[in-house]
Amino acid sequence: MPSLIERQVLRARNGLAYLAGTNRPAIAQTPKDTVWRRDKAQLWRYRHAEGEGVSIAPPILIVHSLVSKSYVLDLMPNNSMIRYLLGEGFDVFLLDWGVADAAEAENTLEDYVDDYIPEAIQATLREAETDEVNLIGYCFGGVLTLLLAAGHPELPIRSLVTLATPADYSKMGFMSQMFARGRLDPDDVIDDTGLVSSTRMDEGFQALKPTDQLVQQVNLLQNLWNEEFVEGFVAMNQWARDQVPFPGAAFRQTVQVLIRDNALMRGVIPFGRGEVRLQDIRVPYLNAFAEQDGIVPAAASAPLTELVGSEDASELRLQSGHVGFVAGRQAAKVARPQIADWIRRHSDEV
Amino acid sequence: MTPPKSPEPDSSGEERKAPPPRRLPPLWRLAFDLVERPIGAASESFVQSEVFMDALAAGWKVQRRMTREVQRGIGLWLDVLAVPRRSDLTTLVNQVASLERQVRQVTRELERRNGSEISQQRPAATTRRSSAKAKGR
Repeated sequence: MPSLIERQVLRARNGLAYLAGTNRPAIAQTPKDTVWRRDKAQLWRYRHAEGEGVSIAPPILIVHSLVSKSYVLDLMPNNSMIRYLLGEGFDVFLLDWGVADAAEAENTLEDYVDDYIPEAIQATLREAETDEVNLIGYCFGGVLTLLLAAGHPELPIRSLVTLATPADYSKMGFMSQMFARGRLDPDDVIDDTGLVSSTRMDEGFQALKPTDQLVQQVNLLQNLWNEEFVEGFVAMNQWARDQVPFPGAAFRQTVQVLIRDNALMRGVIPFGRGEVRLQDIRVPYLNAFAEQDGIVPAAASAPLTELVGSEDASELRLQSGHVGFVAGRQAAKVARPQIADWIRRHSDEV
Repeated sequence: MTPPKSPEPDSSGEERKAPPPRRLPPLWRLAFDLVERPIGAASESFVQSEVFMDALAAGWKVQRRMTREVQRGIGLWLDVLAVPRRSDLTTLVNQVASLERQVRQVTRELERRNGSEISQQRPAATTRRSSAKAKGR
């Protein structure tokens, strides 16, 4: 660690660079190819570094959340879940939803679960020349993958992992309580273009921990001398405030079915013209959640392990926050190795 | 699955080296935490309270209504001046979006039909091949 005087000099230099915005880290740097696209949804296949290759099959398809940007999974070269999985020998695909606009306003959960994701799975199979996929759903993407696995048993899913995925919306605290008992109706927050604006989403997340922004700034001040910390802080802070609009039709369903009826907890979810049952999920399942998650509390995720019908269903309980699965020190030390290990045990060596 | 266990003897039987002692945060940081922690905890509880959520919900509803009223008021003046207003633009955006959605639906329907035509043709081809084989025998 540098001396006190050196730290003050570094603090001044890094502080000025931070204020001037000249130390923006390069994010989402892992090379990738777009192998399929439909509307704003894109399927990316990540390239291995030289000397690396695919040693585990089937490939991993990550379904990202509808409420945030997917670059958190590939935040920085030294802090990237994607890069870690590639390094472990997996073939990694990511389904990114892009930024919804008025054209997506009428998208329902069925559009994602019955149309986009099955097509992305077919594209993954075609590209990887394989006949199965390991599926990972992050946050709300986990809800989509659960509905998919329950409603489409015909799809060739080898295993399913959900990360920080809520099931019991009565335990979701502020975010769902605002809508749970009619305090707010979905249309109170859906704007004229039919979307829940990113500003409204951000306000909702910020309200969960009112002093968090202040604490983050104090953390930055304390570690301002440390370039690596500042780089990570800027990248994470950028992602945390970089919300995307949520399609209004899907939001209305989320409020009615998932929040007010708490249908995931009942295990039977009205969907499309019928219903899907979580007990119909038979593939090996890993429910990963975090004890210090302020957005999706552990109590909201934990029941999923019992709700699915898989005989091979296990849980991974981490001592981290919402993004501790995919970015940060906890992710590097604990979450990524354990998730990769679980998937490896349910895959084949090639 | 559980998190990794605390340090254990490694394969050589020796105790792993203990991690270096953690540096204490500076005094100013300790003082900040001393003040922030109770305030943070109290504010998080307050945010979860019925009073706050009712107030926020009412605030959002009022904000939405006010925005609409203000937009309507401004719109009337813009109409007088024959200047397009924001809601005109929004209506156009929504109409374009609606058209885009219809094009997507038609495209998908066409792809599905083409797909089913192809799949209908495939078994026929297989049957022909099978019958040709049978004839050959």
